[in-house]
Amino acid sequence: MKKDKELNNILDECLERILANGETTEQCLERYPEYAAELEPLLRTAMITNEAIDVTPSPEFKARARYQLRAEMAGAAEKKRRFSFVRQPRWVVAVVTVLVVVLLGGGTVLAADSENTIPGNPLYAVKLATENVRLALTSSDAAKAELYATLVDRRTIEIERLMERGKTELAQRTVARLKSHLANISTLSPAIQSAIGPEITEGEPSVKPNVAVQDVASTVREEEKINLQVLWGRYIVNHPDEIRTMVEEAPPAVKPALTRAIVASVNSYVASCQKALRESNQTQNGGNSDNSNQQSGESDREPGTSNQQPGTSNQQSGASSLTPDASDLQSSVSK
Amino acid sequence: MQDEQGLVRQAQQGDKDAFAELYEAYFDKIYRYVVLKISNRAEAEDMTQQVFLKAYQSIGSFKWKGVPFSAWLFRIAHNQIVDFVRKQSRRPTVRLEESMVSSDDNPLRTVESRFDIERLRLATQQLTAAQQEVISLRFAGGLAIAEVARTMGKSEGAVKALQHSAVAALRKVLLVGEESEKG
Repeated sequence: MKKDKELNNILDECLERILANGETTEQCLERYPEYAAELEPLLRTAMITNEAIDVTPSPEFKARARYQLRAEMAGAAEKKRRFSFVRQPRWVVAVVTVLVVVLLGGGTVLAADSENTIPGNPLYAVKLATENVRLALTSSDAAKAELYATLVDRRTIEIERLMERGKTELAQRTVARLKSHLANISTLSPAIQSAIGPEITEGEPSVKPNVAVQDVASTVREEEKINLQVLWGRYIVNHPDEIRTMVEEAPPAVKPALTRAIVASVNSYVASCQKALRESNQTQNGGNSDNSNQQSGESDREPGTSNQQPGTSNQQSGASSLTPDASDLQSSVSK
Repeated sequence: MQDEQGLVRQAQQGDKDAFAELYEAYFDKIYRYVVLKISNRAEAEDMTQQVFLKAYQSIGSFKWKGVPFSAWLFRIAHNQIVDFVRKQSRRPTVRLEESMVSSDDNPLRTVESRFDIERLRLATQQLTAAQQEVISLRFAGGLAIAEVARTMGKSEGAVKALQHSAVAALRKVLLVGEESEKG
């Protein structure tokens, strides 16, 4: 018993000397010759265990993970900082909306609740509040899904208008809202499935309007659609876990189209990043383009790029962490 | 890296750089710990990332009461893996014998030369849960015996005994695997 305890201590001491201090197995055995016969096989097994376990994450994964963490930290800080009207309990929203109606008159609400009221407009909060009241007053899942789908269309139009005006930050926030609506639609999937009915089959290239991501962009012009895809792609790259959950929870009939839309968006985003990088390189080489300056500046603001891996230039590693392989993402969301 | 306790305190106050430093210090260790328990590389990567996101979200609840940050972090990893394994429990598992290929007469040399993370994972599955945890924390996580003890909620003496029995059992499993191939 006492010998066992001693051997436990000696084994641990030897392991500590080998693992932490770089001592060799032989040196340890010499230190305890009376235990050498029992120690040697144990230390050899421990050493091959230690060697087998010495795996390191790939640089790509590390870069991606670091980027995601930075994005998460930036997102959490933003949530803390921003007083979000839509995050208030529903009764607060209802009371505030009633107050707005009473104080400003119904016409204000009607004005707020229009396509012309986009993020940045003082009445936009009223528009969101009105939507929340509608949601609170809608009881059936199918009706809620339909309402969320309408909100998806609204957000799309807002994103389109914000993009036209170059308000990318507000557009990004709106993309987040749009994504939240889509997630809510996913949670109501049984109701959606019954609403979609037999019109949609597995592998069908298009889905019913108001449901899948690709149809969000179906009403906008081609150029704006690409801009929207880039925004979406950027959001997807930042939130792979949420996107995966969204795909997993989507009705089976919608999944193929949703996955294709996600991959198309990421491809657009990757192309946009590559273009920005090329233009940035051209600028460095003597070219001078306002557009390239703008885009490379946008890239520099990405969270996570400040924490670069040693030995890589800011630009290159920033670009690589922003441009994951679309096929990886496809397999990731298809899991 | 500055004092870990100071970094944790700063991270709790919202200092992103402090959390990033803790992240860098533990990322590879947590990854190895996860990889030893989850064979699918993509799932292991996801899990590693989830551990840190969870840690970031709940670092405010961490309290220094004799429990080091490492113990807390590995506890999160452990819990995530337990949840994952529970969900995956219906999947068929590969037996150690099925994955071993004989090519040498000397069992020890064979074990040493063909041993990799996949074989180690299969071998550790033959150990008790406590032995597996000691191997994971000590070798994959790179924790000192005192940290392993705090993570597992056991005395250092008990963990040293577990470490001894775990390494001995691991060796036995490997040798049995080799012999059964020949038989």
